[in-house]
Amino acid sequence: MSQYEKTTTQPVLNVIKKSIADVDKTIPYRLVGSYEYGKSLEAFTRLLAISKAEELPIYDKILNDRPEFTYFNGAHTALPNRPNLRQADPFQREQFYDSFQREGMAWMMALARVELGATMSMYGNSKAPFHAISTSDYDIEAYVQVLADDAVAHMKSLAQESGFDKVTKRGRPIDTWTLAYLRRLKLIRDMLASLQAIGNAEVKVRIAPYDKQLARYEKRLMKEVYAQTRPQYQVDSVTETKKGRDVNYRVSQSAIEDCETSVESKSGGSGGSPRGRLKSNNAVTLN
Amino acid sequence: MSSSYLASSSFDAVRRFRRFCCLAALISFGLLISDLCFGQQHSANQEKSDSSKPKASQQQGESKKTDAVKKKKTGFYSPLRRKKQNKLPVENPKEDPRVFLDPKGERPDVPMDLKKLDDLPIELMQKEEPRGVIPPEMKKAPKNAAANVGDKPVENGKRLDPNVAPVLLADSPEAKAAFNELPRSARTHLENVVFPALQSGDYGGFVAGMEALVSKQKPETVESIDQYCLQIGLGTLQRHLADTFARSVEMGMSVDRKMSPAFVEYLASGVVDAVNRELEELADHPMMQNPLALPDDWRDSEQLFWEVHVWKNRFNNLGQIIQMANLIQQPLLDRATRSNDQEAVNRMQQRIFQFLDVKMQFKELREREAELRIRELAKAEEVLRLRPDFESELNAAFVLEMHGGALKQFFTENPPEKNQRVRLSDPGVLTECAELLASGRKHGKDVIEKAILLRTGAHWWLRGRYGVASMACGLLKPPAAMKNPALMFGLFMPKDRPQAIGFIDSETGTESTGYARRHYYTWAVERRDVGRERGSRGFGEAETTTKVTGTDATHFW
Repeated sequence: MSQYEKTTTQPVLNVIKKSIADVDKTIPYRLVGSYEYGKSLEAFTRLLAISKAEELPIYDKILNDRPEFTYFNGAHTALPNRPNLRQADPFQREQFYDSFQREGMAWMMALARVELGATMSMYGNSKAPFHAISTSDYDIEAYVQVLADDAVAHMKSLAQESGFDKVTKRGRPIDTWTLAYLRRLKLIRDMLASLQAIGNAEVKVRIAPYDKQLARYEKRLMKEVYAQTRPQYQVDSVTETKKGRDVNYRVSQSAIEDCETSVESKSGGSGGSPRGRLKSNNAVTLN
Repeated sequence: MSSSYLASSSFDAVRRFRRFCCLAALISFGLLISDLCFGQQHSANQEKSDSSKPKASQQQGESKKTDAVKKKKTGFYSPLRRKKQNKLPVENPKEDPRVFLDPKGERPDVPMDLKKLDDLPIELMQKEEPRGVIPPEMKKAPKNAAANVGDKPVENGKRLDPNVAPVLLADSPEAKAAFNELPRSARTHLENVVFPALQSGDYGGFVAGMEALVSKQKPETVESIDQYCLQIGLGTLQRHLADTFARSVEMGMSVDRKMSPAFVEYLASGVVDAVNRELEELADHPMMQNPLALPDDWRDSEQLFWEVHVWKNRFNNLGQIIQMANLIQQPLLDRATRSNDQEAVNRMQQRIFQFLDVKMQFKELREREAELRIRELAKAEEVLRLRPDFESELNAAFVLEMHGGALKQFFTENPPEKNQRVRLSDPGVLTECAELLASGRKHGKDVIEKAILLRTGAHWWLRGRYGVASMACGLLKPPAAMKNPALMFGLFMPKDRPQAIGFIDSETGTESTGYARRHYYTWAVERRDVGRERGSRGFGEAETTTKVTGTDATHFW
């Protein structure tokens, strides 16, 4: 799958300390969106605190005048149930697609919260990242909608991608792709957990099938990971039963951290080009 | 969309079945090979293999040569490499169930009917070619392809529209004749090095190729090559070289100053032309017209100030480019001075003087902007004093604070006595601005904080949504951002007002689920790369961040 596969054929037991371990821990702060969405939420939250209820629609009106503050949401959860538009005229189709446009301050805050929560889920230590970012009554509904749609989108994409099949091939050595998919499954798991906690009945019904599907994906991936790293793995909440050990295949933060230490360090592995040295002023020079 | 996972209980069985099929295929292939080797078809294959041997060796030789040229170190380094394209099947719109056909069975003209989608596609950040991605039109055309300069005309010297994809080595008789008139070494070099590097967006390879070309060929030949490129609609290579140089400087790439004199001359003249083009474009902007008019609608004035902001950034970049060009030219100038080559000295000095025009134009732009800000400040103070409605007050409050702060900074750097424009050189202008600001703040003290918070939140949201950093295909800021606030804040932003990806693929009119979130891609931030996705099966494979259709390139928003 990657040009680095040839360099990761060493047994996983030969753990190589990542030379960029310190850099990797800064990823959640360096991801574009973490700082920005955080500042945005800070301003909007303060604005909500000092504003009157009748002023909120005015804010929406100002923001809605600008198309750059509009985004789309809801298609992944709605498309299977869409009306038959084959016979529809262009106006009806336009109406249908326009119904997925989202605008207004509540939706902007919702998107910012979901993106921040996703960063914390994938790269942070929070056990409930999507709960850690508190919401208000103003945007809770939008937040649930965005979260549900994004979780479903991830699940649908996983079903279509060839990458997951490649990663779960028997005997494939652990590399950054394994780590990436572990991260992704954890993200989806955190999303679904949050939806179960704060979503309404309709949302819970909609995401129920994906819960089992995700469990199957987790088991597929973790089986391969355990097969290569079992002596070193601290399995999260292994249940001793009368028949034997019942291994929990849930992807946890500790599993991801263990996997991180097993992956061989590569130059530029935290992102960016595989060649070249990055200087502090972000200038790239030829090796 | 249908899921395609297999139940875990049968997964192993499927694996074993796959292995069996592979083994069977391998055995069959082996039997076929042995049959061919020792069977009656041996003589026919022998003829074929004999005839193909020279070609194979020739191709091998050429590929070795190309590889050798590519490995040559260059003055620029491009982090973007050509990647294997995702081979997704191109869906036939007529058979695609997601294309909504009308009852007559004809494909409706969907993009034309959906008026709200007229603003699609999203434009590139700086209206430049997709980086590291090859649109299909830019791939090398077969020899029998007719010359095609794209839908939009390319005028002499003007920047090539990235959506126009000329066909290189066009088959028109005139172009062919012009190409054949070039020396053989030049033709080979163009075909094997320069054009492929230009097509693939390989900055370093293109610059190295051009340096070799310009250094080894006569100036008349280089001129002929540029004329040929103009003829086929590509634009001169000198212009492309200047654009590549500019882009490299903007991205903070270091420059190898050990360039041949001929190449430095060629590059410097190209940079001068690029600078002149920028100045001509600015001269056409409404901001530079006389008399200076303030739009009536606050939305129009907001757009105008946004464009000025973009222009100021362009000028900043231009300043860096000019500085770098002067540095490159300096050794040549010193050498010409020592050898008393007055003609060369005059030529290079004239370039430096032309570069000074940029400073003057920039100052003119800033003064005009300041003058408009003063007028906006007065309007905002009036609205806050009269208090018509909350929405107007909010807008006026933000405008008051924004322009007040900007004018304070302007007059700190440019006191009235240093300004050219009459309005700004008036000694009383500072007092006037201060009084307007104080009056506005007094009347609007209860809305100013709200206005600032609203705009601040929206501004940061915009940066979070559309900002592009320098690592991991724009997803990640450099490690130094942890210690450097400027790097933590700095992002590439779209030049024009961006819009979210819609649901209709503007090219095919098919339904697309292409709207994106950052977390769709950041889960694999170490493996991010620029790829090409066509079709609308989903929001892309794990490797791709930038989606390119036939006419536009969009990032992950």
